[in-house]
Amino acid sequence: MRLVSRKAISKTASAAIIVIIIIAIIAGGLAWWQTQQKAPTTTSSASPTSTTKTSTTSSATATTPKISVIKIGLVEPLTGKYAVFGLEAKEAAQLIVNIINNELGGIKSLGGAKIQLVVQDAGETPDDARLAAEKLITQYHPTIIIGAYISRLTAAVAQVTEQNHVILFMDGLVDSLTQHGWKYVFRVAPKASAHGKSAVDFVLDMAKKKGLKIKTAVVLHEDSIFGTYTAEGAVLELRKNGVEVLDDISYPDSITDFSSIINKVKADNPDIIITIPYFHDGVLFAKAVQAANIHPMFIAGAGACGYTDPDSIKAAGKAVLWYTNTYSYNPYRPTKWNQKIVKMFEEKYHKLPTEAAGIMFYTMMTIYEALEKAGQMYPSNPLNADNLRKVLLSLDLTDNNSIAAQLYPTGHIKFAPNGDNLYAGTAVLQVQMINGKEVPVLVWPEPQPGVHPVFPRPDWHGSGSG
Amino acid sequence: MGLGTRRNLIVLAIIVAVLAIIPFALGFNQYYILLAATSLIFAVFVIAWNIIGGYAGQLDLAPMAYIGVGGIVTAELLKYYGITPWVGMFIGAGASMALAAAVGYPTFRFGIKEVWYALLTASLVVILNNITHLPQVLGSFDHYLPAKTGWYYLIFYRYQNIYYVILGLFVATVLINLLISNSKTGYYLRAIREDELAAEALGIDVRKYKLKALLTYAGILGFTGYLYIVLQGTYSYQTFNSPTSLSIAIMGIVGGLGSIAGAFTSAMFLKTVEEYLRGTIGATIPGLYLLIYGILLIIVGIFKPEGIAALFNWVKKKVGFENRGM
Repeated sequence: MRLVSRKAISKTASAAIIVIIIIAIIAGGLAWWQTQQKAPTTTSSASPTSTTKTSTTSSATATTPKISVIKIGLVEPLTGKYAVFGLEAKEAAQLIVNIINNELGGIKSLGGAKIQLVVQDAGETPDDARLAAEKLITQYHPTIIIGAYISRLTAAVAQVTEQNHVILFMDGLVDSLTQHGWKYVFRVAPKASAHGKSAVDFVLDMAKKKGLKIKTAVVLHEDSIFGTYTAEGAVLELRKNGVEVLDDISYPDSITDFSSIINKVKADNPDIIITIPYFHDGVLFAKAVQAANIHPMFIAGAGACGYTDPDSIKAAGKAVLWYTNTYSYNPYRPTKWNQKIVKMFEEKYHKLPTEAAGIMFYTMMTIYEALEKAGQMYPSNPLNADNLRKVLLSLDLTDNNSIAAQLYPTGHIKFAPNGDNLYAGTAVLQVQMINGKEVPVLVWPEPQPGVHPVFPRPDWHGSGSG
Repeated sequence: MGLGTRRNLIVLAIIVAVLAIIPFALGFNQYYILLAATSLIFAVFVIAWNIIGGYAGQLDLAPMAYIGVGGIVTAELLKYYGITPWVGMFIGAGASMALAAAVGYPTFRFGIKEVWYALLTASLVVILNNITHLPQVLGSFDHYLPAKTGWYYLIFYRYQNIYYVILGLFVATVLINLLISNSKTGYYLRAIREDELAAEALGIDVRKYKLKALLTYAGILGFTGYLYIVLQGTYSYQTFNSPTSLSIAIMGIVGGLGSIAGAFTSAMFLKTVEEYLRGTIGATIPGLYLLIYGILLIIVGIFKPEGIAALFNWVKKKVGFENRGM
């Protein structure tokens, strides 16, 4: 190595010098940073969400700070396999922001402050979602973030918002999201198990009205985290009401052949079947039931996917007639604001708002109500996360006192300490034959005008043959 | 045997020094540090992949299998037995290596190579995805790491600490690469890559050396797996994700087979560009970033099919250095 000559050695030496200089810079930077760090952290933890151009942050006198813009962050999957949900949520959010800013004149208690939507793509994997949330918070400092529909993505976003003390409204429905003791998370939408519970409640309610007794049930679900929680909710509710659950069958949503499951169901011969499909598996199942000549008292879907959506009806045809499904949102709910927003959405995007859009409607409007109230309750610091949390926990929204509740299936929004809505519930749609065409209609909790739920299934052999 | 030329080590030292000041240069902006950490962990994956894919020339598409197994084993040990990841990561690495041995031994014994090896490894990710999806294993649920922070858990409120941990792993991975590259094993592996039959005819124990490369690669990925889960926040059967697995191999190929510098550059560059495009235009024109990303890959494929490493060699030649294996 000596022979390599002086040149190499001098190069080594110079490189070593460079490294030493860099290390010195690091050390210096670290020292400088630590002296700098003290001041900003204390102020930012005091009001981490002060996004706006407040004239002076430390207002000795409790005067109302001038807030002109309130930033709301939206982290939704806009690309990849979940994009269909995220894109609809984004459209809905933009519509509601327009309504709040123009028609409702902004947040009145905050001097007509406008809402500004900042959107980030959550991608497909949790690391993308975390990056998106981190970017939103560090670059835009939003007061509230909404996201991210898919449970894994929502969990990743929640870990970031929780650390930064930012309120997160979750539109992911999986139960476990509100079971971590996270302080700053809220969820207006009914969680997965509430979907399963609602499907069962609907069937039991109908049976009671018709004087029928349900003794046995089979639960079928696709094995995603959402399907599993939904099924759990259904099974619990069935057991609670004294219905024997003969089988709880899970299958992958990529299933192509239902014959072994159908044989099992046939052997069980239950009074009712509760099924939680994804999409195409629902079509397959309905066709298999039709072909196998299974005629239970009722077949109810849960979980807002499959059976009653236009694509499933087109694909399955007569096979899905009288099937029902539960939805987090009811586009047919006959309240003034619901009708109006559905109409506006249809005019703007030429389609009926479904699950993702509906959740966004009432979530955004709940935020609107909360901000209004925050301006009254905490005029000096309305956008502080802890103040907002207290405001949210104090809200009790009903059809009479709010727009948000008018958009919600049960018409009642009140948060439990864990962030879930105490009055969460779903609407039930049923596929019915009207004027020779299969259409989804609202049948529960209150049927839409001129519609009656079909129960039990007309092809049921009756209790005698069961 | 050895770490190779002094210049390699100097270049490494400079790169590490630059990477070390990145958090300061970024003013501790958490978003950028998280982005840097994500890019750097992918650089570790790609440089580890370089051992099996670059030196040994085996198109392995299963990095997520080893990352997932190592990471999940470490995470479960922490969650249920309270074992610190500092110990757990070694056990995780061991689990990944055991899996690699179980897959690699029969594979190489029965001479499965080229596209068949690629197919087999790609299916490994899918198989693990399905196995862990069973209710008896992980089920459908998302699993969370303990809600605690500190060096014992390797979970932090801020990202700079984990960034430096990843940086440490990065250095270790590059050193292992250099060690292999400049050893007998490295020359044997390259001989196997160029012509397996000829290598065997020369008396190289092809099976043994391929397995050695596979085990080293799986061990590094298994060790790093836990940090990847920390960045993800949760783990589930979906940790065994085929697209991510493929993207690691793609980064390795774009970087240039057998080149550490190429692997590093392509991982840092592609991951950052991907995130930058998603962050800037992803929300306004969804999907456009994927298109641009794809076009970038095609451009590299057309103009520099040997990868970014070839670009470096070209620059070096112009400047007057000769390539000495870095």
